[in-house]
Amino acid sequence: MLAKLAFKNIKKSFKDYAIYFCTLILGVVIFYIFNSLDSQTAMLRLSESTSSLMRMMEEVLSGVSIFISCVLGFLIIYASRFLIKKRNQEFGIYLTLGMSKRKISTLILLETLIAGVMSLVIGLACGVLISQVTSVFVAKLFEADMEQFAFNFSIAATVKTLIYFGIIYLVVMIFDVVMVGKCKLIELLQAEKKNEKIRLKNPALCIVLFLASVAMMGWSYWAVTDGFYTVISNRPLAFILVPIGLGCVGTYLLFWSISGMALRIISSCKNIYGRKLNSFTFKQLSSKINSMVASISIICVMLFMTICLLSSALSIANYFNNSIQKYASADMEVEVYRESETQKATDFEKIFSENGVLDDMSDLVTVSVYSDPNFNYGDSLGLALEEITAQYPYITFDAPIDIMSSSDYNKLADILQMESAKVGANEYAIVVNYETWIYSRTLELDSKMNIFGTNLSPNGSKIVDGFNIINGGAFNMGFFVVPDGIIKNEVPYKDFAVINYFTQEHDDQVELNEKIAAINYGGSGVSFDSKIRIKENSIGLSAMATFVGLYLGLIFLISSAAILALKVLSDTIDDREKYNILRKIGADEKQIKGSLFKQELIFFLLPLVLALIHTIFGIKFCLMILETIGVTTLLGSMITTCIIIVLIYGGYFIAAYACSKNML
Amino acid sequence: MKKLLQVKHVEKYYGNKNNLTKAIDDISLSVNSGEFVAIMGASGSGKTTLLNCIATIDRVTSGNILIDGEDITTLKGNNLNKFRREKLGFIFQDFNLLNTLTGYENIALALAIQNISAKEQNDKIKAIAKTLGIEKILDRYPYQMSGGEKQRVASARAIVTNPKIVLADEPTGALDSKSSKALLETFERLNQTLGSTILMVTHDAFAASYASRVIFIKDGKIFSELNRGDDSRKTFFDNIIDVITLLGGNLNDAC
Ligand SMILES: Nc1ncnc2c1ncn2[C@@H]1O[C@H](COP(=O)(O)OP(=O)(O)O)[C@@H](O)[C@H]1O
Ligand SMILES: [Mg+2]
Repeated sequence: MLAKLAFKNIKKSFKDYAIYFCTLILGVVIFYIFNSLDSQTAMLRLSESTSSLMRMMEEVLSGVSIFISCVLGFLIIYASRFLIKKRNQEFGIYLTLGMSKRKISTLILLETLIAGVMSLVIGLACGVLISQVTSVFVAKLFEADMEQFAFNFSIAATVKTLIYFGIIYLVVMIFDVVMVGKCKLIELLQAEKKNEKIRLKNPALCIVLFLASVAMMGWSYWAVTDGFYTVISNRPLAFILVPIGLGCVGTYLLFWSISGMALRIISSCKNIYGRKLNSFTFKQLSSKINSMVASISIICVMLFMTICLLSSALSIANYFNNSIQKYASADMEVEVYRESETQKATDFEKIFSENGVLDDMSDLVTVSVYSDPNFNYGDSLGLALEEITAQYPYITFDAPIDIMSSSDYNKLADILQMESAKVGANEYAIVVNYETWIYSRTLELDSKMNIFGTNLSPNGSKIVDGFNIINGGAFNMGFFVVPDGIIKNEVPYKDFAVINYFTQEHDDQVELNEKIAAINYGGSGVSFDSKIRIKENSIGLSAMATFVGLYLGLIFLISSAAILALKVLSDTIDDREKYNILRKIGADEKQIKGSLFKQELIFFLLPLVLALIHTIFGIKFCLMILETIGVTTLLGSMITTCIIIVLIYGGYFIAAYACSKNML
Repeated sequence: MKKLLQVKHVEKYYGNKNNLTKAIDDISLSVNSGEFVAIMGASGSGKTTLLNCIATIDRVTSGNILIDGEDITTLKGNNLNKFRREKLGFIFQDFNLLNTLTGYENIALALAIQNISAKEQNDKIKAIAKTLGIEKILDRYPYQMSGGEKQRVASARAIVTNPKIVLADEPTGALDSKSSKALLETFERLNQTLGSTILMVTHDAFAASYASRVIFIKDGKIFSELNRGDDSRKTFFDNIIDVITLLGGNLNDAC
């Protein structure tokens, strides 16, 4: 009997809550896909280090999944609370008809169970299907060859999805039952009328809180951008949570005060307020917003985090893909540190030849690097040192800075595809490509420098964009290039060889790298780096960033959009009568739909607009952090992020509008 | 006198071939400009259906309805909406005020839909509020008003657009006797001083006794008609009761 009623209720309300149901399914799909990466990569040929990165990534994603399931849990509890509230009258009628509270609870349990099981089954089915497609993207991300396309299905991820969502639904059921248990019949029956009152807020309080929220957010914006070093100096790094927290409180207060003031302001503009259905539209909107200030604030913060997360994550992935091409422009590099000043230069060519690897090399360039104990980083910064120490209080500048001869550097420039450095007889050039250091270096570009006892002037006012060690990004903090004559009599502290192979085959290169690494070069220390290792490292980082960013971003996005859409739909159900009244007093269908559209559009836009304002500063902060790994712009990834948001958030808006229009 | 409303052989059926309800069965009547007409009948006799057809909220199955010379049964879409908001005013049993708007805003909305400027809205509302004695409650929300006050605000909303005819469906149905009396006196005043044409549906003889003419319907047909003439309201009331007795039983009980 009850089961039949439960089925009937679900079927009846399916159209009204299709959006809620789709969100559940979407949640399951995303959860499954991000937890089934192992099986998605099963048919990829991954190197040892990439596989270990994969395992690490799975662990990270698994940790993120716990957080995600909390977010989804809150979403589902919130939504179901919402749905139950809407049905209070129905429950009231059941109670007056003599159904016991126990039975009603059971009814709700059954309904949740049916909806849960259906969403899980459909969601898992869709997840498995979609993961066939996503595995192609994963392969591309890992730059791995797909040996052949194979159907993938992860039992582990399926079980995990079942368990996590099972727990979520269980918690939801408990919540629902407790909620129904607490209800009183009279309240259930009067539920509809109760929340219709217009609560007016004290205008003075609104203004005070509005100003306070603007001040809070203004300070937070400053604290995470221009004021960051001022705020953070002499404080633990965790202090950064203060402006973030204040920003959240400010967001809440802003929405609280605006929702109180906006109506007053607009209704005093009699000409706008008194036009067509505007008075009705604004009143509806303001009661919508007033009834969920807290939710809108949370949604605003979630949207803000989504934009920052997605932009940062995508830019990291994008940056590494591009920068490897540029900064890991040789296949292998060997550095040998000299034991003493008397040790002779390493004869790489001879050693390689003896070990039988020389014939595999298409290019071999050997150069030397010097350092002057009387010329360290601090000296090289000259008068700019003071400003820079103020900016980076944690860094010391007393290590000697690298120096290369111009002929050596230009040999490197040739093989590594960089611009060459031209230095005249008594000139020096600075080679740097680390974004934050380019600026610092620019501060002192016209100073004379004393290197190995000779006064040298700069070779112009331009920094040379280059490096001497292959890397995954622009991490060269700077070295000097001087005329060959100046270091004729000095002894370098290390020599290194830059190598390109004939073969471009991954496996062959790995074998060669291993052979070269096994050679005994003498010297006090040897270090190697290869394009393949750099690639694998940065792929791990970029894949991790992409996955975590997408995972969190997508969940935040659908959660916020779903809450707004549900609110819009349930309000429309409540407001049907109002639209009928409008019809009776002669409003056109066009006007009525226009009013509905305006209400929903503004309702969806409000949190998004504030989130975008937050983003202007949040992105600056992200960029400040990302600059340390070499990312210099977020523009491209922000465009991608905007497209994702327009598609998902906009999609929810359109779906909500279409559904509510049909309900009228 | 000019015939403002003409209902000609109107029929309205509900349901399908097997299960047909004749809600209105060939009704013809006319209302002159400046008249206050009441339609009486037991519950289920087709009063609301007739009023809804006249109000263009519902469509007739056959027959014609002419308002101000225009056949409304042929109007469609936006023309219909335009006609409704310019020529008609409605008062409903359950007030149909928007809970989120104040009394003033509820009245203003009817004018705003007609693109009347805010300034003009204000003048018109002030004037009608004075006539109906609701100046003090204009800034209140419906939940802060009594039933009688709500109905007077609803009446103001119906009248303020200067409609050709005001249609009222059981306007006193949800009011206590004191508020009913006050509302009916308001209708009388509107009819006499502003010359508003009012068509009121009711099953209450007391309410009907305020009209200048009463039309009785039974099972979707016109049963009888009473003119007040120069009679006092009390005499008219007694006459109405006589017809009701003839109709068979008390209309109030039938509800
Ligand atoms: N939408 C409808 N569908 C089917 N039958 C209806 C509908 N509306 C009214 N009726 C029927 O038409 C008849 C007249 O109803 P109505 O005009 O509401 O009566 P009154 O207002 O006089 O009480 C009744 O028998 C009623 O059952
Ligand atoms: Mg009726």
